[in-house]
Amino acid sequence: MSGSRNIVPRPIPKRDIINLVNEEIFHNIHSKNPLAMFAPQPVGISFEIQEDGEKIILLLRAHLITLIPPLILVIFLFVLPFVVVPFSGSIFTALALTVLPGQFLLIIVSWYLFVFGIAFFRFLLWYFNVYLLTNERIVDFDFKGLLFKSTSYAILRQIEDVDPKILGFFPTFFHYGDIIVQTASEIPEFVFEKVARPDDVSREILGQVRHEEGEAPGEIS
Amino acid sequence: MLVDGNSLGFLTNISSSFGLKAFLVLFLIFYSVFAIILLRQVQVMAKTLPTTLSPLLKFIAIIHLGVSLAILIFVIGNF
Repeated sequence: MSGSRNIVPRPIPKRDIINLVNEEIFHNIHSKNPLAMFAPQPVGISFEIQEDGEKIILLLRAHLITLIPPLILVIFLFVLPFVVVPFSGSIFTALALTVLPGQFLLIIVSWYLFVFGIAFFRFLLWYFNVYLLTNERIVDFDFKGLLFKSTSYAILRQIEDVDPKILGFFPTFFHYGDIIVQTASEIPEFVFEKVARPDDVSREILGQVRHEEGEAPGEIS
Repeated sequence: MLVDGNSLGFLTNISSSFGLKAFLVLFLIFYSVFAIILLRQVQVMAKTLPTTLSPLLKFIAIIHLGVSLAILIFVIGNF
């Protein structure tokens, strides 16, 4: 009788697989894409109030799918002259007779400048509306309008609860949603709006909070 | 005093092109203000959150402002 036994590999629990995948994504990938909506350890990005030794673990923007409505608006405005002019009949014929070709060109150029301005502005709203998770805190850069800009942050020790929410057809289909972070800081609630993979991000935030709680006060690692 | 209908005829001649010019000039003045604020916001945000794309965005915002001012000047001069 041989002493060897058949070793049956034990199935790895699903939770461990998720933790391994998250570990790989959040700690071993360095995102170099400046337009990323989900950028673990982004390269070439810093922020004004960053402390020495503080590193960005995750940069988040709203999911790309949220850019579809403004894109449709811009396409609509772009093709509008091609649709309106042929079907408007006498109004534009009269207008074309009263202005010179050069002046008509200026009107068209002004229109497309306006369309470009809207597209650029909507892009900037998306690009600069950023949420950061660092090894010390969460930072929320809000750029919600032409005259509205705010930066708020909460240190990880002050985070009390993290609540990911995926509601609706498109968020479920494209896997994005809101993350509500309850804190004990001056701002009691942070909302990361329409970010990709809210459940994984929440898990990572809680992991960082646990890690931070294990450190001595004031230690940055 | 009676006003002859023909004496106001010049209004019909100037109204369409003048109205168009006034509208365009006003629109482009407001648009240029929008472009200035946009440039300023890009500068502030690029300082708050510097990224590899920030210089390009600043460049686009400057070109955008320059083009809107240039069109405003052309409209004032050409209409």
